[in-house]
Amino acid sequence: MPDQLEIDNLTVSFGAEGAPPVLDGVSLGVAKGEVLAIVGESGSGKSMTAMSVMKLLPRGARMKAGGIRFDGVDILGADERTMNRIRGDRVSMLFQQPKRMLDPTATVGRQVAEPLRRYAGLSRHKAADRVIELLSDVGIAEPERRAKAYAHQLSGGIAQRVMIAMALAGEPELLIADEPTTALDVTVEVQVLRLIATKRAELGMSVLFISHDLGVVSSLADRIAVMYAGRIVEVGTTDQILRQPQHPYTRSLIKCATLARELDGSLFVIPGDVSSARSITKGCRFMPRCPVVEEAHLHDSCDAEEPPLSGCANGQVSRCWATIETRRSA
Amino acid sequence: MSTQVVGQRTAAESGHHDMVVLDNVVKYFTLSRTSLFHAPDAVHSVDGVSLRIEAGGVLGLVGESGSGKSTLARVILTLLRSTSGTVTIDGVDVTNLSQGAMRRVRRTAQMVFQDPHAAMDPRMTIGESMTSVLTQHGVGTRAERRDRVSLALSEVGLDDSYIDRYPGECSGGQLQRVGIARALLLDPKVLICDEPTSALDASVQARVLNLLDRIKDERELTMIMISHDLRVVRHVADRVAVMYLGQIVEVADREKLFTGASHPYTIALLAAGLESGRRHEATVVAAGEPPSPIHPPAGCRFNTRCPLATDRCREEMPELREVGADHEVRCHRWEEARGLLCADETAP
Repeated sequence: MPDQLEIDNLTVSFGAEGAPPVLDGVSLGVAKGEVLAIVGESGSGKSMTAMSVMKLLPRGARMKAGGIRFDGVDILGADERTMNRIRGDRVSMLFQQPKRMLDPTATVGRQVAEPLRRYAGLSRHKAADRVIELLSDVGIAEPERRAKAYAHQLSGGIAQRVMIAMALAGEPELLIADEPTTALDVTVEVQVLRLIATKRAELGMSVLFISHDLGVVSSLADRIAVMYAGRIVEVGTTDQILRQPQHPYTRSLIKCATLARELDGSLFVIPGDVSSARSITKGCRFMPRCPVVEEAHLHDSCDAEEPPLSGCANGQVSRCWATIETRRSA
Repeated sequence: MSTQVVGQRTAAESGHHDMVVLDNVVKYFTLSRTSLFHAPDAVHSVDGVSLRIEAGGVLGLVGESGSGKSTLARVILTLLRSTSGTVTIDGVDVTNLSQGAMRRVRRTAQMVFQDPHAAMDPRMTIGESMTSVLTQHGVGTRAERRDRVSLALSEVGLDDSYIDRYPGECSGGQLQRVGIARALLLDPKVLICDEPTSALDASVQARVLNLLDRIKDERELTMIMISHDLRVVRHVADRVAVMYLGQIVEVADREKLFTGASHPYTIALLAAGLESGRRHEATVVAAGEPPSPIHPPAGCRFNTRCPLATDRCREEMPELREVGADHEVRCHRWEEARGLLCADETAP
């Protein structure tokens, strides 16, 4: 069965011709009903990947791809009308700043009703009833009162619930969630993650979940893709990524996320920063920060050629010469 | 006030010197009048907080948004005047100072902000931003100021090339170091960090925390670390205070708080942290969101979200009471609450 969403060899670049791309040959698939998480630091290209799927890239972006297909429909070649249809009720998005995404001049009820009126063709009256149902469905107490409220009268958690109600109004087949809990308090974050998990099970929808936080992702995702400097460096099931990470960057990220300590008591840090990847044209982009380059005596191959995404029988793939070497000798 | 100062000195001689002392600090914000016949509403941001922070100690201040932790920080920094209660920094009551005296006090307590991009003027170079701090406080000649700025930058691991850069040319992590360097310019004794790493990536967060750790030791700073991230607090703080709707609900030595939390709210926070960390159904989750600080609930303020709330909790506000050495809890049912956490810890 083909994947619900297929991204094949997606490259996005800005600025002058020949400038290093911000997304470089990204291929991913999300199966029907699956939660795939993309994890990476700021600038890794994870949000750009999501925006490409919706064809909502900023002005000036150049997109090249072997293909992006949603449920068999070619998104790359789709015209604006087809895209609006898809964005309307088949694919929905959640964002980091729910209060900024709501229109400050319209009541919550009116905003939630809009897609119902436009795409489902409900009458004003029917839409208003459905809004109350949707709001109470995402766990908002006193939905009648909330429907009359404006964005500034809501807390962040309630605003994100409203966004979820709106996103789910058309019972989408795919939900793209870009850091939906980053701005929320921990107790509220747990509630929102649980709500997304429940709704995914109810509606059988697929989820593309984008986050910089491995902790958040681990409670929800079936599979995790790790991105670094515009490249996918590792993909595997959540268990594989958390328990047997293969790429040194994934391992470093996990150590950072758990605030692992060094022998001297200080916290583990990844040396250098992402900008070191910019100057690299042919070798591995993580090499300048990589902890295993020296000990694996692989400096020459890491420097000469970027490793391919390669994997073993269990489906976990990673982009690292040291891992390839270990696998070969085993 | 004079008796207080004497008290401080004796404490200092015995080796335990309190750097920051808060005594029943209250901060209300009065809202605009909505009716002629009723008194205007007020936001009860900080409602009777008493705390002591030993010199060289690090207090972690934890709570959800709206709990009053940032307001409390601003009251300590004398950026806001408290409605009542007193704040003493290094033996000086800073609650009712003249403008000039307040300016001098501000040099002893400085702040590092959450969003480094928002905390810097985008149209000033980093050098200009930092120098202006010294100019405002009338420190040194022009040449001396330039030296101090460059010294402070080198202390946080940035070279002089940053002096002429604009904030927009720096990454979040770099700019947060600049924020720390700027806070150190006036040789403060107290450093208040308001969510210093929550806007940063995990890999950069560790670096900033290491830096704060080192600076604290080198300069023997007293620190207040405000954070919603319990992992961060556990790493840096030696005592932790948990705030809920303007009140302290639990305060304890770090290890006691993390292993023997006794307030249902603290336990819910710990459980939430655990749940987002692993696949794991936490047994306690605080339902809903904090109620409005304009009309806080009667009785215990947490009763609307507490799994243990009884009629007594809905009527009678619990006092902050001592439940062990250096461990205070504001809960009628803290003994039962403790059981919640134990059940939680044995889960896989």
